[in-house]
Amino acid sequence: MQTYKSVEQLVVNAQKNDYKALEELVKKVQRKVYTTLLYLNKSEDNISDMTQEALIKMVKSLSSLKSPKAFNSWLNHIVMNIFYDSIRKKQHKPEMYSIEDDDRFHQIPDKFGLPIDKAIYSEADKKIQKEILNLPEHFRVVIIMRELQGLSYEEIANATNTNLNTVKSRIARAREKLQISLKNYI
Amino acid sequence: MNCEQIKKLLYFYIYDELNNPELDEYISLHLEECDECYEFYEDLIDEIQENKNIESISAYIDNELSSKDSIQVKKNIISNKNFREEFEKLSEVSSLIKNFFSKQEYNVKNDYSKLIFRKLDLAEKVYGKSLFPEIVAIFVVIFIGLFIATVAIFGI
Repeated sequence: MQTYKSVEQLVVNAQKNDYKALEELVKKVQRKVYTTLLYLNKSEDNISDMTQEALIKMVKSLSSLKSPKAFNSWLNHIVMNIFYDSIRKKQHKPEMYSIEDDDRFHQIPDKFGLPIDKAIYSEADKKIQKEILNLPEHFRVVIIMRELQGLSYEEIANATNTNLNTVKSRIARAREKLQISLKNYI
Repeated sequence: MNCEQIKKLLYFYIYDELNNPELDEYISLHLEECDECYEFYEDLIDEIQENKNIESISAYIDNELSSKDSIQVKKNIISNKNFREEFEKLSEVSSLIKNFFSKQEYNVKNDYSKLIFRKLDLAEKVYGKSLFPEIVAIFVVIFIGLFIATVAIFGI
């Protein structure tokens, strides 16, 4: 069986109608798409539906992607559009959760239907998860794009319709906030 | 203009974003005369400088600085204890969050591939044609054949 190493190679092959490469590509990116939407979305609903929607859009429009190197940034664009659409649909305004909002964290594995054994959540992981979710939306978005998706500042600036200085400042502020709230775990 | 109003404008004054030369001049004169506002102005400059340092360190961690700025930050990390401590803290928090997200990603067990290929009518292309109908047809033919043979042989 042929094995593929990089996402870029999978994209190139999938664009040539190699359906095994397409299947492997979907399997390879679906976890990241799911996790991204899970941490972007604060309404706790429809993560599975949104993930499927993103993957379907990805498969449908893959042939229109001109540069396979830009795949991650392109996929992120699809995911972000789905996220912002979901906000618009719910007429949901960005909100901040208070640091004391303990309940929210404990709801996540159940309400999101995460197929994760609760036992794997260490105290440190619980605290990290809570503090990421407590970040104001514009900080949370850049941290997800940088630390989860590994996008460059330029790609983040394009995706968030801001400039490089704003991205630089937001990432630094977000890290500073997390560093203060997680100082016992660093 | 009173001191509180002046203080609110100082950030824009420092960044030369007032776009009003008269107001700019007015604030300059006020700062020369008012100790309280001048102290506030100096604190604000320190705060802005500190924020700029943190931004540079954070961008340095991400390899997002120009080579010139990157060399400068590297020099500061080596020579300045506060700078070095800030670099270590931000590096650690970045690794902590990165590792956390990796674990979260790894723990997602849902597989949507079959579902979405079915929805897109691509299942046959991805997984190959299903042989199930053919297998059923073969069994049906064999069964009918056996039935006819049984009837023919035993004349039931």
